[in-house]
Amino acid sequence: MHEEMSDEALMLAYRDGDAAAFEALYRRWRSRLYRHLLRQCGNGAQADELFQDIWLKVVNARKGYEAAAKFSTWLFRIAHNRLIDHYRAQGRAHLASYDDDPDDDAAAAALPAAASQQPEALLERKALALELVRHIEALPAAQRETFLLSEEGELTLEEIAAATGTNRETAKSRLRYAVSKLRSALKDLK
Amino acid sequence: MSDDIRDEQLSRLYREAPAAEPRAALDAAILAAARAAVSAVPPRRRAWWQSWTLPMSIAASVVVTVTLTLMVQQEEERALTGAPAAQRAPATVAPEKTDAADLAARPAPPPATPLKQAPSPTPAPHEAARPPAAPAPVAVPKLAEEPPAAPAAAAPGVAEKRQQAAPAADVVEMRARPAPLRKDAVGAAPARTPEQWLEEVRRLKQEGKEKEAAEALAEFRKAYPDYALPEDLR
Repeated sequence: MHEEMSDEALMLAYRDGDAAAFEALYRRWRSRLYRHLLRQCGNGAQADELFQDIWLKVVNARKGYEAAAKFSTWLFRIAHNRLIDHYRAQGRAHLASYDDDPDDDAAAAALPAAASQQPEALLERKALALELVRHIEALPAAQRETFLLSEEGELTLEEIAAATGTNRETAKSRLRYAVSKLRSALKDLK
Repeated sequence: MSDDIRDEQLSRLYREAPAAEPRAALDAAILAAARAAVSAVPPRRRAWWQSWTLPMSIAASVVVTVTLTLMVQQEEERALTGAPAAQRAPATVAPEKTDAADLAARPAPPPATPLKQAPSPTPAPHEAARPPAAPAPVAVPKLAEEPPAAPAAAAPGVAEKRQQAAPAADVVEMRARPAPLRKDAVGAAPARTPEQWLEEVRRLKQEGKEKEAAEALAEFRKAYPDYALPEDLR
């Protein structure tokens, strides 16, 4: 029964006291949210902490949830706010990375050098994917978040803008730079 | 998802990256917290009586406070009125009784003597002043230790008649009489009212027994220091 329900219907059911609806919703989004966080902070322990905090916020904020908001957008907005707090706690470097949103070639140059030292391994598809993840993690915070919201959250530009508290054009610009850098890195790898 | 910017080749490669999953313990903790949050609803069921606990306790406190206050007030009133009443009882009740007795004991009505007890021509009062020898139907005050049985039976009727005939001034005089010492006086000379006593003094005077009369009067004044003496005895 819960499998056929939309995310929004499940969240409303949970808001009204259906614990099983939350479990179904959690199963749908747990992996994607966890990866989104893990790629953002690059640290399993920190990802665990953020992950738990975000879901507890979902639980505690259930009364304020309105069906008008898409659940995934709402979930990733909570994640975004928690990440900003996390960056603040980590220090200015991370925040600067997010706020300055470097999108010039200098930032691209900061990407890890193509691992041409290990050509055999990189030819493997899995290894290539891992290398992609490394490059994603090395992106400036805002671009990385935008790319992950698109991939893991499957959000549209409007939804990314809503989740990150910005406008569609900014979201589009960030995503374009992120994709461009990753393509460039993959070309080097290939 | 993100319009034309998205690179499908890039997305496909990203999905081939090793899947990172949250730990099972993390799943269990989050799901338990989520269940606990909604299973905490039962307090609503208890709310019907829980919501009444505060008003009920306040109401109970008010009832107890009011009850205690009323009880204390009643006790105070009882302490203020009850005890003195008990002390005053002889003083307030006795005069009335003795007044009635006085009226009954009084001889034939000499109506116009507010402050002065007119000497009666009949010997009856004189006789009545000496209970052992009292032949007349005279009322004896209840304070008397040995009330004569037979005459007392007729007393109420006589007293009633006399009382009806008594002028208002007499009543005023009698009410104004000092009460407290009367008990002693009665104790000293049982069955003798002040009027009878004064009659005795007059009789002694008339008989020329001035010394005895003076002594009797002195004794009377000792017993009734506040009594307004008739002019003929001053």
